[in-house]
Amino acid sequence: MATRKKSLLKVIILGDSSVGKTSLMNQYINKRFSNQYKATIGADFCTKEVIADDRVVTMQIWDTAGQERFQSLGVAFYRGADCCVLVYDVTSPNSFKNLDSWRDEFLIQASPRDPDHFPFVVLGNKVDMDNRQVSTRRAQQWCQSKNDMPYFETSAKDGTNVELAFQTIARNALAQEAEVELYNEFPDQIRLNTDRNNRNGNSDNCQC
Amino acid sequence: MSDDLPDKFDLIVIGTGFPESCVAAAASRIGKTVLHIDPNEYYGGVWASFNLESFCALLEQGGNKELRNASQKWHVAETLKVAEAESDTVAGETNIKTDAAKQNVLDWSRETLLQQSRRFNLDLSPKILYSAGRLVQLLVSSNICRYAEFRAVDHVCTRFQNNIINVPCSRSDVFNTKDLNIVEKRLLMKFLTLCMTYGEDKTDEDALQFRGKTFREYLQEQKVTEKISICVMQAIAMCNDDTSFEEGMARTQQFLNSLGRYGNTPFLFPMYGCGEIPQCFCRLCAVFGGIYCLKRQIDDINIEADTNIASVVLEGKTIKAQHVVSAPGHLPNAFLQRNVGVYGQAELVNSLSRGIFLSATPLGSEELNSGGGGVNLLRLLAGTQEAILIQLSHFSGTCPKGVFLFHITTTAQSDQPAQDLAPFVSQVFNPDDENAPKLLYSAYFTIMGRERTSATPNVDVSTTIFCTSTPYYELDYDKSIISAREIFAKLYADAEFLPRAPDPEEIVIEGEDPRALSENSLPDDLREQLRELENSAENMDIEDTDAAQAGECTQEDAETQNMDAD
Repeated sequence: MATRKKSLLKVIILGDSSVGKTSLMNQYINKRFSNQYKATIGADFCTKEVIADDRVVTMQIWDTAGQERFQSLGVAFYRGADCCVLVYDVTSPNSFKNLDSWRDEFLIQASPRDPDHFPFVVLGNKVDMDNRQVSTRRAQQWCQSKNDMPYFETSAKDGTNVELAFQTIARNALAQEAEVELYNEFPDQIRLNTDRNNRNGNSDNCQC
Repeated sequence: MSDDLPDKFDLIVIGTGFPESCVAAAASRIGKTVLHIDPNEYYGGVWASFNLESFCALLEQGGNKELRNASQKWHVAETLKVAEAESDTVAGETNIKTDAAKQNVLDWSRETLLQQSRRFNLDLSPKILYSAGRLVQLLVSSNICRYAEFRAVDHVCTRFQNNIINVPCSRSDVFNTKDLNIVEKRLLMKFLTLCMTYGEDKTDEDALQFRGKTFREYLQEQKVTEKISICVMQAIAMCNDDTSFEEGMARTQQFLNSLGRYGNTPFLFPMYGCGEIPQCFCRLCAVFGGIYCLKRQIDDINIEADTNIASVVLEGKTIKAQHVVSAPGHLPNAFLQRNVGVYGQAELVNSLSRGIFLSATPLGSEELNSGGGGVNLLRLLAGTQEAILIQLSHFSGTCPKGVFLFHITTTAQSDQPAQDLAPFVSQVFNPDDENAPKLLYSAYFTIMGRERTSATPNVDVSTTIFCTSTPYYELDYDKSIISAREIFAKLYADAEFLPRAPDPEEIVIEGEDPRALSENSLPDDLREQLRELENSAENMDIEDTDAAQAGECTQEDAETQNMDAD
């Protein structure tokens, strides 16, 4: 029971408002981009089947649903994350500065078992813009100082590096999950909509 | 930051407790613009869960408007080192008799417990869900269930002659239990089968015969033993001596209908505590465009006389709204003072006396706590009073490994929760009983209730401002859902309450307008089609359940025959 493979990876995307979290998701899943900014409405989570390390896994990417706008993300959002993607906007130094507090916030709220080795991936978004303010070197240095987090410069608009970044995210989430499996904290969790699966698994009501 | 907010909303909701979050989600779901505010820095209000450190801090500061009469006590030493040095005194104080229990207690100190603070999720208002109950149905039908995970309650227990026994739930439970003899097993199965088919022709006579009588009288008529009677009365129907026959029958059926869906018992507990539930509703609200602002104070609310539009003053900024829904404790003082007589503070009734206890050992036998400890439910009686006890192990995500968390809830009789709970606490944590769990920490508080009285009309007499209800004394969320729905119906009379939200993969992105992401913008005919599909899918479920039940009945008959052969 404790070694049951989790085929679902939960990835959460964090970062200041309007750095392009939802757009990155949309580019990755739907290969679409919208210039029209609207504080995230309707974005919930996206699922995509990915092949990482010869395994097919379902990656579930959770958007903040706009609740970060007034610093109002609840702890429930962070539960059970396998990977955390930190996004900033290369044209906004503030959004880069805030990555520190987003990372801390994640570690506090999600309180992963092994905070030093929890997989983060950092994305510097909007590299297609010409008013860049945060240099690649500065971003890389910061990532190195935090246990060498992988860093990608992306454009949700033209798709630069988006596929590559999410592949890394999937692989790192999977690696994390392999370790967690050794001591699965909460076996036998029930999801209500997968009613049938649970029924087949645990119920002993029909075998007597 | 408030400056970024729009200055007009359809609905402003104050407080992020369960009923407020329900209304916010439902309004947002049908396309209303919603601003959801909470003066606290956390979600859930009086429905929230806390880590150990923040819980202790909340009690230390004496609670708040909604949580009062707080007290807490550490039953272990400050640090482990001290504990070892003074082990004799510690042992003397807590009456530890066995070495093993002594060792367990000594594994913990205030310091070591607080080090694991974030592994705790201490519910102010803990609940247990019937697997086929109102909340589970709502979570599934609205698709909010995708935001939460659950754990099946491992055992339903009852006290019988000072022992805590497991109430067999599944058929295999009944046959495996050592607590019942063969005759009792047969009687219990027979009785439960009878209840299952109640309403069908077989028990029509009973229905007539027992109308106006109590469920207890009905049980006596069935000639069940005292033990069976207690199992049924305490754990299955959860009723009292004066519960009517119809009510007892309905509750037994509720229990039976929830069996066999998920785990071994008919009950579920939300992973990481019940504080997750309001947040799930808030997320749905946010996904459909609701705006969230924690840590914001409402200074005042004014109502325009001719239009009935509310002006909410939020940290100096005025925001207009058609309606305001607020948790009772969050209406601003300025507003209440100005409206004494009309909006006068209602009398405080329906309060709850709560106890939270931590122990290094579980309650009851090894069997009840196999595999590291069960999530167990136990209803306690003392005279005419009753209380609900929920034991949680680390499997529920609410406490660290090696610690057991106990919630006891009863209706408040006084403003001294410790005194209200004493008759129940002494039943389970009796220091003279060497098998009783040894306490590491205990806390008491009152969850303030509030309900309108005829003398002082509640704020919901107005057509603009509506007050939600505080947690009820009930196992599940039934009454709270009903009251949230009532408010929603007053706001939007003909609208559907939380129709199913589409799964992300069902959403077709049309063009580049993010608004197209909402199901509401689907053409009517497509929406209709979706509904039809959903309905037919639901019907399939029902048929399935019927078939399963039919199967069970046949098995049951076979078993009864086998036993008769014995």
